[in-house]
Amino acid sequence: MEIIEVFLNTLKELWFNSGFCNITIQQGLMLAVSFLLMYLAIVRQFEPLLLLPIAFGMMLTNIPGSGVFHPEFFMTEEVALNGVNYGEVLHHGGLLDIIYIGVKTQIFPPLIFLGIGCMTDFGPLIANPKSLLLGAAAQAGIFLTFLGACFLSFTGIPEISFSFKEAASIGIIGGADGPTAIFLTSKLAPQLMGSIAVAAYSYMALVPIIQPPIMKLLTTKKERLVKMDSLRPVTRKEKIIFPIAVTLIVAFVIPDATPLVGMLMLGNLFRESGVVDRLVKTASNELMNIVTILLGIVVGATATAENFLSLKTIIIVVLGLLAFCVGTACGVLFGKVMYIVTKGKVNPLIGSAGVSAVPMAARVSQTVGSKENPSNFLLMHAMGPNVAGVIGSAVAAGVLLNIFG
Amino acid sequence: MDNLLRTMAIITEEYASQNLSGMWASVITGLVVVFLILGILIGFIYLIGLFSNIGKKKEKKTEKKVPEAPVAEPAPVVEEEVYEEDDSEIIAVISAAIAAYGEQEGKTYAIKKIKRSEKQPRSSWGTAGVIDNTRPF
Repeated sequence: MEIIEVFLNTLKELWFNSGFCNITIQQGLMLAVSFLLMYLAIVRQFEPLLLLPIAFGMMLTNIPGSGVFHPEFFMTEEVALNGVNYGEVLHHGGLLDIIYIGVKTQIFPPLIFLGIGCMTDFGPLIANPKSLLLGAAAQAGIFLTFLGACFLSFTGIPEISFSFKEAASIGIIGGADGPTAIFLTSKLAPQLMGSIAVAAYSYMALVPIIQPPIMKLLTTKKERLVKMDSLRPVTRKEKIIFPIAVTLIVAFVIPDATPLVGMLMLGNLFRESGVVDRLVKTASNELMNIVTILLGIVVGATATAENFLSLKTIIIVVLGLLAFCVGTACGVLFGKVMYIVTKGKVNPLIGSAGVSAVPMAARVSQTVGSKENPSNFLLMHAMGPNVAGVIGSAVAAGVLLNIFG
Repeated sequence: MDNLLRTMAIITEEYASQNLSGMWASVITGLVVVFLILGILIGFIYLIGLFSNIGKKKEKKTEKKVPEAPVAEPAPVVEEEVYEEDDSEIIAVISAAIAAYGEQEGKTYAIKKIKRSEKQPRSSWGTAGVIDNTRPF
């Protein structure tokens, strides 16, 4: 009889400790959100490389009692004042707590940038340096969305009021650059990490849907038909000097942008030097893939029910869309200015590629242009502002970090 | 610049409703600094291009001064139109292709000059490449 009693008590305890008994409605909702994101990643193929680990991380963190991630180690007011107690994280943290140290210490996003640098050809930008202006103009989306998020505090409703730090983190979604958004948010508003990362990657996947209507709305048929002159060839010497010069200039002016820009340019120098093929292959394949898995899963893990299920998340999703639209519009409008200044030599459609989202945004410029005239090839011209956008958003993140960090 | 931004002294936990001037100052500073840095980069890229071209012009001038050497091999000449200072890899590929072509005919060719022609319409291979790159849309 005693054995049966112990057996039944054990089963009872097991039941009371199980997720089935402890799950809250909010956690159930979060699990549903994670399933939706998995569906979008697998079936719709929305940025699956990152959205899938993010969704899975979100699922893990919302399983009751899983203990894989503890937001209280990283996202409390005490932590904001005194910093993270890494000893406690290492002794009492779960698997994802320990991996999250890579985000908190800003290691993962720059490593992703290293891989991006290895895969990026800055040739079109060097051939046409003026396209940097389009990359800069598209960053206006970041600052105007920051402004929008700030204005919400005038409503006086705490649920939709954002501090300067939070507003800056929301604005960076407009940079259309996932690692940059994570880099800045981990410093300024870690409590919003899940919402901002999901919004940033979702919109990056939706670039081919979001951008074309704005591009068509802001340009005339005559402007869209402009055929641009072919780009000049770029020498190897220029391609090698470029990453070194960019790193020095950006790092001297905005030291806070050095981790992102420095690693981006290191990767590019690896590529262009032509003497470290093994490093290029590792950085752009194995290393980047490993970091992508770790980054995705911990970013997803930050989306706990308490952090994610709030009115703020909905506002962030709306503001993120606004940031993308404004960034695209500013790029196209600046393209129109260049069209006028150059007397019709620049097709304004390439301006929309100024938001990073490499190479998706450049492909969208090509597609919209070729719909007007199938023999018009804008792809390489759009790659200039596109890679300029990567530098621009990293610089913008550095500026925001400098002001609010 | 770094110090300038830091001395803006915005209390960052504040809300815009508590510090309106801080909000506008952040937006203006942010936009100006982004344009400024990318503007500096534009100037620098032009400078890099300029110095590269000076080097190229000097090379061209010295090439002109050297008297032309007599052609050693009186073989049929094939002219290919490729970028003048491009990598030797491309030249090797072209040479291999011509050698393979010549082998079929039992003839040998000597490549004397490889020159890029400007404003050439896009070749069918180039068009196929671009179409392939943009196919997902």
